[in-house]
Amino acid sequence: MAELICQMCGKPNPKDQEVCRHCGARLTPLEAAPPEDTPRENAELPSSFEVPVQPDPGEDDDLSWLDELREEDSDEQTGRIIPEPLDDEFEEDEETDWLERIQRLNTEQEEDLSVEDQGSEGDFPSWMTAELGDPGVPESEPAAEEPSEPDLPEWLQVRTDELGLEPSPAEEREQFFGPEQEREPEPGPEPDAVPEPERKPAPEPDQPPLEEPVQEELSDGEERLDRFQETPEAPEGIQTEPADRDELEKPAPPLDEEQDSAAREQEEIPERTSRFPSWASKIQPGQESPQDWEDEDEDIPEDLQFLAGFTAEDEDRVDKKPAELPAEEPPRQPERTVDPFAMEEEEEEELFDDLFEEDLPSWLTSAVDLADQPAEETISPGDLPGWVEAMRPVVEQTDPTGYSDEEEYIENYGPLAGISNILPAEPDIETAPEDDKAQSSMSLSVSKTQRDYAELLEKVIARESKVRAVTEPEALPTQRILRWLITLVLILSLSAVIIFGGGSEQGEAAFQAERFAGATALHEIIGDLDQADPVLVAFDYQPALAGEFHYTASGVIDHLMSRGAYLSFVSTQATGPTLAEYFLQSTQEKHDYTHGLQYLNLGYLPGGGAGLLSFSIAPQTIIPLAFDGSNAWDSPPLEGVESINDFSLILILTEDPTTAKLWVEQVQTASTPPMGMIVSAQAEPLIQPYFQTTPRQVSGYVAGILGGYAYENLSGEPHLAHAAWLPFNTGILITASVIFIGGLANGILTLYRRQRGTEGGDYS
Amino acid sequence: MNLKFRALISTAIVIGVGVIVLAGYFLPAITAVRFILLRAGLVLAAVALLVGIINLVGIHLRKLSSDQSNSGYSLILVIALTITLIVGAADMFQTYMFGKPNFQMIKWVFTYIHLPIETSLMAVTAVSLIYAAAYILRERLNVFSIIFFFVIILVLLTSFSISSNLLPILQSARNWIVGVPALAGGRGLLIGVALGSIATGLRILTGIDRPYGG
Repeated sequence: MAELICQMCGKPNPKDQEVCRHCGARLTPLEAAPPEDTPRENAELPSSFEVPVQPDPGEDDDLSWLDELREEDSDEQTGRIIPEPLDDEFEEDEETDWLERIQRLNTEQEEDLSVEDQGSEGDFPSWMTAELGDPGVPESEPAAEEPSEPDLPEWLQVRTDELGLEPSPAEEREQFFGPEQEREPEPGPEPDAVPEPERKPAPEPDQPPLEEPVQEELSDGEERLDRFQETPEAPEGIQTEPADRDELEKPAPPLDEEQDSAAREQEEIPERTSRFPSWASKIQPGQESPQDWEDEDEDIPEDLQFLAGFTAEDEDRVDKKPAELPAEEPPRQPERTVDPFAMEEEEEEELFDDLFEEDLPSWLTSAVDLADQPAEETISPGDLPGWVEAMRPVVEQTDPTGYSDEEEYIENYGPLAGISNILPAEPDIETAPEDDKAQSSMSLSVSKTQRDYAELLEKVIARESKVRAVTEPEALPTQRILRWLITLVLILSLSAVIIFGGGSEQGEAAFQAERFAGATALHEIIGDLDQADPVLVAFDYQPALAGEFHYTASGVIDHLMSRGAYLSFVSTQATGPTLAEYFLQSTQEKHDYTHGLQYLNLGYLPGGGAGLLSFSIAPQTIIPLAFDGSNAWDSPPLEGVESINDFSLILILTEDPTTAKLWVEQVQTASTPPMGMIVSAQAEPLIQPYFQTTPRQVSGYVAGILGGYAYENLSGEPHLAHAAWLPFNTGILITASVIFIGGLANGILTLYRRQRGTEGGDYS
Repeated sequence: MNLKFRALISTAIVIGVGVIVLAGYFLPAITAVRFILLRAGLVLAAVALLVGIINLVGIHLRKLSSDQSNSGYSLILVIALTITLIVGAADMFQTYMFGKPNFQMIKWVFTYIHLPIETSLMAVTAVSLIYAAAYILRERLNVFSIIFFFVIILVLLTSFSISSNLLPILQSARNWIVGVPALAGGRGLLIGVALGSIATGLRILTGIDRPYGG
């Protein structure tokens, strides 16, 4: 059973398969007629007329003979794809049948051409117009009947080598005769214009009789056959079997003559005379040797009378042995076959030129020269031959991305072009690199897109490696003006108020009880202290906030000193001990407290929460000495104090809610004394929860200058909070005004710009 | 757990100390052990402060030697730290050895150098905050920005010494803001911090987190 070898994947398929069951590629060419409305301009012109195209039956009914030939030769065509062992007996029947068909077609074409000359479209015959690029013309011959060597895909050659298949002479003959049989019935009015229709003008009205070109085609067909016999050394992977070609080797001498003519083909074409090998002129069914053919010269039918041009001289040359040939002529190598793919485009054109001449075609005569040329030099692997491209399913697609409207991917490049539902490949992978450098075997073969990406990446990396000076955005002049304006307003107004204003009177402001509940509670606790009660005061605020805390805590500390309490200072911050000393010196000089007598500075308590916990457990052990190095626990302020519970009050001065939380968590217990706090205004929201619990974890607190002012009002003794009250209020008023005016102006400006659809900008 | 030998020891120490200190809150019998551990931690914290100072000096000395930009500030820092250290050491020597008034020189440095600098920085921060508050509606004009803007104005105005009788509505609004949303927010923050502390403590006690390495 014959099998079809897929040209894409190289795997065998049943003969009746149209599509490869392994890769999905089409095994047989499309033969359906295209839609008539398909514009011809959209179709790709074949590179050369190597693709035998079956004309549209609707256009030329006279070409029905092609269908007949196709039916008869269908098995042979499939045999081209699947090389089979060469039959020992080369059938002369095929040759004679072929000649008979030529004879029959010759008569038919005379009639057809006479009709076509009377006015077909554009003065071109239908078969020619079909090849001129009608996109809808189906491809009738998928196999490499006449592929040009540069267009030969590499995979196609490799397939033959890998499979170890050897094209039999019968196959090769079919490869050559197949297209000829299809072209012969369609001779144009100007046969020389067939290979290059786009460069040839329309046929002249006064053309020679059509019989001569037809005879030339027929002679070329025989010439092709002759050249097929005198094959040079076949390319790798293709071997011949000379034992099977006895009948073909016998008429070889005239082919040697044609080898010589291949070199002179260009000059001699106009001067050629009708020559034909004797074996071809004598071939008849049933004959097995050239001697038999010679006996039947008179039996040549009229249609093959053009073969009579084969003169006696030619016959002599045919009879010459290789040794008698000129020295420059290479000996005939009948055991070699011609690689049909190893043909250049020029020779293809010559081939078609020769088809319409009486002389033998040049592709037969130049077979040896062609074989001497290395095929690898002219093969461009990335290019597909025209016949392969013609095999593609015709897909109307305008989307360059390769996706159809249904988002179905259709390959646009490579041998799988036109096939849908495949994995998309990089389009430029199939394209050859531009420069020779990229084609070097030692360098990477990259596509243009990949090279563009690489260059882009290189630029990005190079840009990153460059050291660029980062220029800070300069503030706009209006911003600078605004900042300086705010600063000047605050400085001038507050200075004026401090210098010329003065303090406030007690009870000037009415305070709500619920707002200053913390201050009131702390005031009550301090008011309950007795003389010489030990009070632990923690200075845990930063020096930057000394201004606020001095004004806030001065009234509270003053109240403690007024009550005669012994104060012990401790701090969990390194600057706390010095800050405590500074506070006493700057705010409580009037009480004349002496270190070691009324107060004691215990210094710095390291360890954060652990230090506080340790201090709460055993204060004497943790801080045995005072800040000045004296024995702290023997001094009057700490006399009788052995634990944290012996203090009458714990007062924490901090601006940090975390520090306050640590004191509450690590020191404050059910048995500890009440804990009061003096905090910054910013920490008040986080201190409130400790105060508003039941029982209170923070017994009372004073927050900010406003709280200090309230506490001083409660104590009845104006202190620093009252002294700073007017500047403080003035500063708040100015601050609120600046924020309000500036914010309102910016808000209105932003809304205005939004309405106008603009962005950015600055104060203007 | 893929622990090395050193990491195993350090992890065991941390977990053991943590468990003992934590249990000391509930078991009075181990209070003494807990206190010993706490004292050791206290000393280590003080030493860590000293180590931190040494590291700071080393970093700025390297900046000086490498001739980097802004190395002048490093020079100022090293000089100031050296001077303060010498003054403090001398002050401590005088106080402890000769019984002179405690730390007079270091008090001078603090009163006339340290405190004014930090207070000035806070004053500059106040001006910057005022400018930022005025500019907030320029950067982003949305509902939250507008609310934030007017809350600032409200709190500032209610801190003003205008009698609450003149602006009773504003005062009530301020009390509501401080007593309800601010208090709720503060409590939420504290609860969140507490939960995070518990989770972190448990992870350290179980050895999941090993900030000490290993």
